[in-house]
Amino acid sequence: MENILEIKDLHTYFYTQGSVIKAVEGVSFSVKKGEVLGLVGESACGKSVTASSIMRLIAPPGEIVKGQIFFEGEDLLKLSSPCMRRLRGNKISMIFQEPQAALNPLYTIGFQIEEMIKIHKNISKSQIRPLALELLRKVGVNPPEIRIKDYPHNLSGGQAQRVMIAMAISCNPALLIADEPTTALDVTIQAQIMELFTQLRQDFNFTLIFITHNLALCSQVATCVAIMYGGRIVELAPKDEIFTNPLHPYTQALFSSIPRGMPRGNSGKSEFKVIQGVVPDASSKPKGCYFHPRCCLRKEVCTEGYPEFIEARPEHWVSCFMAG
Amino acid sequence: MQTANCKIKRPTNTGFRKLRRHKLAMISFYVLVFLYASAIFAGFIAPYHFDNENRVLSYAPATKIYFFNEGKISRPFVYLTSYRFDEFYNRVYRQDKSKKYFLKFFMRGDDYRIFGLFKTNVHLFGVEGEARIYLLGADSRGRDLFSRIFYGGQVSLSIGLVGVLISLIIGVFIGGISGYFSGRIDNIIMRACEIIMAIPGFYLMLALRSIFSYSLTSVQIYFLIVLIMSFIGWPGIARVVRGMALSLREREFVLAAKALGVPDAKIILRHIIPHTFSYVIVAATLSIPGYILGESALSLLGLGIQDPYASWGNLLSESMAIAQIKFHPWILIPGVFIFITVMAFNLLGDGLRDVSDPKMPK
Repeated sequence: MENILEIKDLHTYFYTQGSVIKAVEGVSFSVKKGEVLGLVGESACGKSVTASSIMRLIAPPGEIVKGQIFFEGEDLLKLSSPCMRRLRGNKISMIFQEPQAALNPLYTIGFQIEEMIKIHKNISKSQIRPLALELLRKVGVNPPEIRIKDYPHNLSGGQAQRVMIAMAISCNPALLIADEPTTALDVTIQAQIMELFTQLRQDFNFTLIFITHNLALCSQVATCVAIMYGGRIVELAPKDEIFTNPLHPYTQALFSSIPRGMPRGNSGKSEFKVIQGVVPDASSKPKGCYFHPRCCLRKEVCTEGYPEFIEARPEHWVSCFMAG
Repeated sequence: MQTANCKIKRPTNTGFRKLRRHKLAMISFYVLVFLYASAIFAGFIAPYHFDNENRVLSYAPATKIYFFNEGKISRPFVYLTSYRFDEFYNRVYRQDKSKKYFLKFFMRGDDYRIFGLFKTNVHLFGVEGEARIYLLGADSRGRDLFSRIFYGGQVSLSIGLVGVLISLIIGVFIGGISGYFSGRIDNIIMRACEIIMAIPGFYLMLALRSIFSYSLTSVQIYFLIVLIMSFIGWPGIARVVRGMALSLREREFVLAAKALGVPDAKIILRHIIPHTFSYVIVAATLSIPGYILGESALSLLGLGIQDPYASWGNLLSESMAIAQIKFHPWILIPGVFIFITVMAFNLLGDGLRDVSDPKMPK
């Protein structure tokens, strides 16, 4: 199938006083049409910056230094900003982590959804309201006729996220980027929202990039998983492949740190392991492989240079000297 | 589904309810409503046209109104005022008690227009015949000060509102643009603001006034004053709005709006500027007195509204000589009106600020 999004060697740096923070350096991946890519990693590993780079929402002091982002064959980084603006929310849409904060508290949700439609679609005024109602119904905000007049503070977190999703899909986007859409929600609502994504994908047929740090959630929806560490993708493979056969020590460590079952009473040992150490500071990354200070398999070679991103098994890409 | 029946709370409603409990602010609010209403209906309240003069009665004191006639209660009436010269050739006014002139309500007198549209000649009160009623005394040309104060209020009170409105519009837009785009645009705009703010306002006002011709019609002068005052006033507002915009642009809903393809202009107008309103309303209320005082100052110096048109400032200009105040203290009364208005706006502004402060207990 054809690639809807293809990122080549993306570098996004932030220039702060005295130091350069290399939030994303050398990220390359592609997403096929209809796929769901799970972008997984710890906090501050560059997931959100990658997403913002795709949307070209990096504001100074940040800058996309190098790289190409092909969306439907067109390099987004070469588009003029008005062209890019028309693309945002229309062809590529984005959902944020804090739904309550992402809605403007001064306007009704109806107004905000309608604003989206008005900006991107050339349809008559009388058609906008039914369309907004239809969207609200599709995302499960009930009853839409009443809720459409609500202000964001009238909504619960889950409902607000549904409204955000309604806004994001209002123009039938080809690509939807969800930046930790369920992090601010509790577990039951998480499950509902995930279900909603699955259902909407059937109805609207969009490609999804799902950013999360929750591997379980990722395994639910993703067809393909990319693991990020220190601003780079360390492993990329189809979901089943990566879950059964993780190659990168970081991925393996991540999987073994998933709690399995509840630790019983005071009997002592919880059954999951912790990855020792912390994510390296983005402005002073270690030499060699960024993961080597925390890696249990490290060798001499790991401290010398960054391992190349290689296809160790069919469709299974990894950057580790120990793999393959 | 409960929301079906109960009214949805709009963010703006709660503010007014809180203001209700602020006594001083509410009193000020009603004082201002009264003053503005009196300015709108100046023609009706005033017994005479602002330019209706009677030079015989130059600096005539306030006319006495009698409610009793030979010990009995009667319709209020006045006597005709006449004068003679004393040994220093000062006018001494006395009442000619030979004939009574009764006060009449809804009397027909000088023509005027309400809202500049409806022509009429009905006044709230007046006296018939050759007698004149001066509730607050007369000015040098024998014009009724009471009437002239209300006509003057039209200018003085409206200049504050119009001036603030214009500088608000300029300040909010420029501040919003400056804060939202930041970087070089921000730098240029803010330096320009600082240049204007660095020059003392009053001298800048005089300097700007002197650029324009001295002989202008009063309408031209009116707009000129508004323009000058707005030009001086916008940078202060722009600076604060810019600061708010700088923090607002980092808010997630602005980022979300950007991510969903809302154009920059719309983000500034819809998502940034409305969030600065709570500040802007307070700032506007608190800066109106500055405009009223500015106009008064210009008119006082004879650079503003010109005779025969009245404004509170140019009414006061007669009182610049100490001798005038000594012999005719009532010509200071327009100053009382300025004082009351300025106080009322300040107290109302304080109240609004308390209300809009989220740290205030509800």
